[in-house]
Amino acid sequence: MILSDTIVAVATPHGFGGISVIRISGPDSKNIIKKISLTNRKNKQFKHQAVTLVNIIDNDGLPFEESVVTFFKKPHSYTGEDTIEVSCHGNPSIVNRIVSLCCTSGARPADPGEFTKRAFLNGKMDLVQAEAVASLIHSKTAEGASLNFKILCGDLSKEMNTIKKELKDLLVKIEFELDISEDCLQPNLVSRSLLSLKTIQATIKTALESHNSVRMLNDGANVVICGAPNAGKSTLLNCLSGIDRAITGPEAGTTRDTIRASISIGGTPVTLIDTAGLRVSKNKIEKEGVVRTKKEITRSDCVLALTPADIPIKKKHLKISSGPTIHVITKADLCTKKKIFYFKNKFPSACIISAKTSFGVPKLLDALQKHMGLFSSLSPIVPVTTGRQNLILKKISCCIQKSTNLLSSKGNPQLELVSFELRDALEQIDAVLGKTSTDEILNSVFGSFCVGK
Amino acid sequence: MKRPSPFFDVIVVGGGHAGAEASLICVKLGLSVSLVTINPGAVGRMSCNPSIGGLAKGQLVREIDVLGGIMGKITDLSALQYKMLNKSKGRAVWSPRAQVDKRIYEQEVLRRVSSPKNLSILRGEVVKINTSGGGVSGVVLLSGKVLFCRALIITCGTFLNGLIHIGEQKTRAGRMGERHSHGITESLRSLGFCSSRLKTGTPPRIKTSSIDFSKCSVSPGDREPSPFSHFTSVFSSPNLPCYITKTNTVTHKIINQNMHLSPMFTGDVVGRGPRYCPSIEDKIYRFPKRNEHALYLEPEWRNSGQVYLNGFSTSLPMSTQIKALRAVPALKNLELLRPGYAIEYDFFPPSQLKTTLETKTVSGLFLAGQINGTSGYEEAAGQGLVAGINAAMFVLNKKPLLLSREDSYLGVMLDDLTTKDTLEPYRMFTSRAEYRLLLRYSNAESRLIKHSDKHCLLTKRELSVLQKKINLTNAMVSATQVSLSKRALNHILQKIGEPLVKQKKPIIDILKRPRVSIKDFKEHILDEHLKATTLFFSLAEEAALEAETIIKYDGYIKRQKDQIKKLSSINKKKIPYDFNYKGVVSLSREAKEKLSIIKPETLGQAMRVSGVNPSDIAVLSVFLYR
Repeated sequence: MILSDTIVAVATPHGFGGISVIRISGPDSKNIIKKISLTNRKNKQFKHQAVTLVNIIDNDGLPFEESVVTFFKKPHSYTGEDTIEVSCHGNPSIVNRIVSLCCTSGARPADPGEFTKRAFLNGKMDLVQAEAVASLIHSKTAEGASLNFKILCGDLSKEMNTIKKELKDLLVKIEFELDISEDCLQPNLVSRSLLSLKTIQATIKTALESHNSVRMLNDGANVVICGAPNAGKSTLLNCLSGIDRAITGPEAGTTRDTIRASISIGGTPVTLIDTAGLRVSKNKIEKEGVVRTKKEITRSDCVLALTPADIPIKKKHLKISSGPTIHVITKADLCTKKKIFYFKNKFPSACIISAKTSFGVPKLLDALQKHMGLFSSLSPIVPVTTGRQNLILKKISCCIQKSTNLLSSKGNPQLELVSFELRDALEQIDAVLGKTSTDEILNSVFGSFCVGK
Repeated sequence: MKRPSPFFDVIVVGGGHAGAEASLICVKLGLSVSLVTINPGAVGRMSCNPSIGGLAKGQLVREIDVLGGIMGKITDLSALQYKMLNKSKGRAVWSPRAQVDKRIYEQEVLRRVSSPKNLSILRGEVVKINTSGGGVSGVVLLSGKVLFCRALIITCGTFLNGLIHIGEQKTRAGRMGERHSHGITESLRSLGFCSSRLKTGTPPRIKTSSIDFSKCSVSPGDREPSPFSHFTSVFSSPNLPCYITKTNTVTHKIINQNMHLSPMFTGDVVGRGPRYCPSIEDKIYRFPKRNEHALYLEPEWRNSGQVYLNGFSTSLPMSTQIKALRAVPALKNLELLRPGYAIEYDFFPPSQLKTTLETKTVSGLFLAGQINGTSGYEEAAGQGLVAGINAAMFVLNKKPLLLSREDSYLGVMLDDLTTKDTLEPYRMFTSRAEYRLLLRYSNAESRLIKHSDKHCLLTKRELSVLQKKINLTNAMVSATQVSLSKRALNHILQKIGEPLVKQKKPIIDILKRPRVSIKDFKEHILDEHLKATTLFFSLAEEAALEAETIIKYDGYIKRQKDQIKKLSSINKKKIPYDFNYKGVVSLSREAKEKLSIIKPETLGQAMRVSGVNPSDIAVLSVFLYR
């Protein structure tokens, strides 16, 4: 509830489009846009309600995108604060890049609904509206905490909790030193603290690496199409990408190398990867193709396991990957309605399609979206929150690094500075998991140490 | 209008650390004061440990000193040894402490309160508080005598319905051997205040000649101590040692066998005790795996023949105390002069107060010290001083002294007391201060001088001493901007085994290295500035240390100041006293209840009230400042 910071978020739906709009609101918005952009009209830039053409520059000062910037001076903006709107090309990777540049220049990713909340707090609404938003804010607190938690962390929640616990344990030991033990340090305090800092850092690293959706949004998701030879993999690739990307043919083993095509599902860039059919072969080239297929499967975000409708379905065809897999029964155009009904009963989770007639393709796309945990293109939550996760983890990692440096330097350890860094890190996590109060730390000190003379 | 008689501007009830500070500051501000106490001979008495200062408390004493209090000055007159605590950690948490001669301390306080013409000490027991028109008008004594006043400060310590426990034996008393007080609690309750019970304890006092010191380790003070007060210039400390010994498994076994006799465990004690100062039976019960606990032997006063046994606070029966302690080799022949005991007393949850320590409902009535649920001499003295200043401001019709979390530990304490639930006696800890890195013992003057100046809390001479120190610190910081040649720098760096530089650089760049001290630039900075100053040498040295800290902690100081800036708008937003929280539909039920009781003065305070969520604050801010 601190209004003195500056927030940023994408204001238009996530995904590809003609243009996207990024909104920055708060006292620093003008400074932030100045930091990340170049413009010819040095003196006339960013006047109230006027547009300025700028080049957005990356960290090295190189321009990568031309955008139109509009400035609204407080209180004449939606939020009632200084607001910047950046209209850029509607490409998720450009949009995400600009948002993350704003974040490294001092903005914070906005919470869902935060622009409206600010408008409310700045008195930009009449009493009826205000009361409505107020009760909304209130009713959303409990729910919002768990929602935030779920959305912000997803599968990271476990790691976040581990990191929080480790941070807290370490902080308790250090506060004991500062507040109770009057002089001598606990034996091994420094070496043990360094060890726990190392563990925390490792946890953060795995969390950052293992979290897929972040990567998917920046680089796109990889979907591997595989199955026995002549299952119709290349035909499906062509169907989904809408072009004749791969050569198809009635003979098994037409595709020997991996072929890629880019499409967009729900605004997220997806790379489809057509692979060589999985079979035992003596042909050297085809053998190499199978090896490559297996490699792609391990690297994929989702696998489409294809089985043609005209051949009996074996279990081994469905167990190609340990990751998310969708069973796709192809060549539905060869089946009677009765047969399709039979498949639906026997394989309820499978998608029955015909790449030739496009039968069942929309359902396959829905299934893909669900399997990869991508939200619908209308939900602005995904890019904001994933960006936020990354930001939080990186900030924590930075605090941990500083603590490590402080503890590793020669001379008396400046424990109060270490505590400051750890509290800063805790505060980052608290933004997601709820507040740690001073009393909580003190209580743990009293709980775990024999204090007092 | 004829004034009723006898009339005083301010009446102070109780002559402990809070009462003494309150009375003296009011006199200093030109008011007539009556100090009412049951026993004028016990004014300024140190009821428990023979030391002043300590972690976070040393900072408090420093702040009291800058705000015109006496605690630091009297400590310097009575100190037996000084020690800078936490020296092995970073400088923002260094805290001074002194062992003092309790007798001299007490005598010095008494001498000070006895001398001013405008301060009359009255032997008596207050049994009733008189009010008229929503404000305080005076007190009634047990003798029936009535006194009149504009402002009343109550500082009763542990005396309100005090009950001492030693084993199963219970005695009504305010302190061992001193009568408790009865009537004030009842009178305050009839005025609508609510009270509760707390408990605290003290360890035994033992005969020095019965201790085998050869079996103890020695704990000496600092060899080159600095005085507590900024204004002490004549100063010598005998540096008497303390001693340390340990309990053992036999001691623990004896205590375990007699645990059922401790009133802490039988349920006889209703009040909650401080967890940070647990009794020995509590320590043994909660940490059964520990085979020993340290015992600190501290002299009560010089040549007293008495030792304060720090670490052995207890309410076990006297015979058990003796038996358990005689199991310690150094105490084999122990003779007990006074057993340890627990004491229960009434306190008034401080959420009923404003941060000025005036009660919210009766104007002119101030409470300070243990009556507010705190513990410790320093906490009490600090509150007494603040209550005294604000009572004086009330009488003089001037603006009150408002301290904040970012300028002092005192401010943290006042804010905590008025917003948080008091579940145990409140003691100051450095971790309670979110801006700990800014609240150093060595910069109390620069944090608080604006208040001392505004409210005329110091003499001209004192004010100029503080100003000189601030100027000296600033001058030394500026002096580090000067660049030195490569040769000059490397000459210094070589001596202390630091990596050399390749070109000339400003001193400040080199000082930021962790192992380089301002003392390494003796000829370039210290000599010139220390020679020129008229400050007492230890204060001048402190200024040098402070300059070094400002440079070394620069990045962190900036980060803390940013944090303060972030919250400043919310901390400045005032809430009207009569704001109707129940009328704001969207506030949570808990927030409505808590806020209606506590009635925070600012939005920032409201935010810190336990049970109030950020969303409640968001809602509140709209309804208050639309």
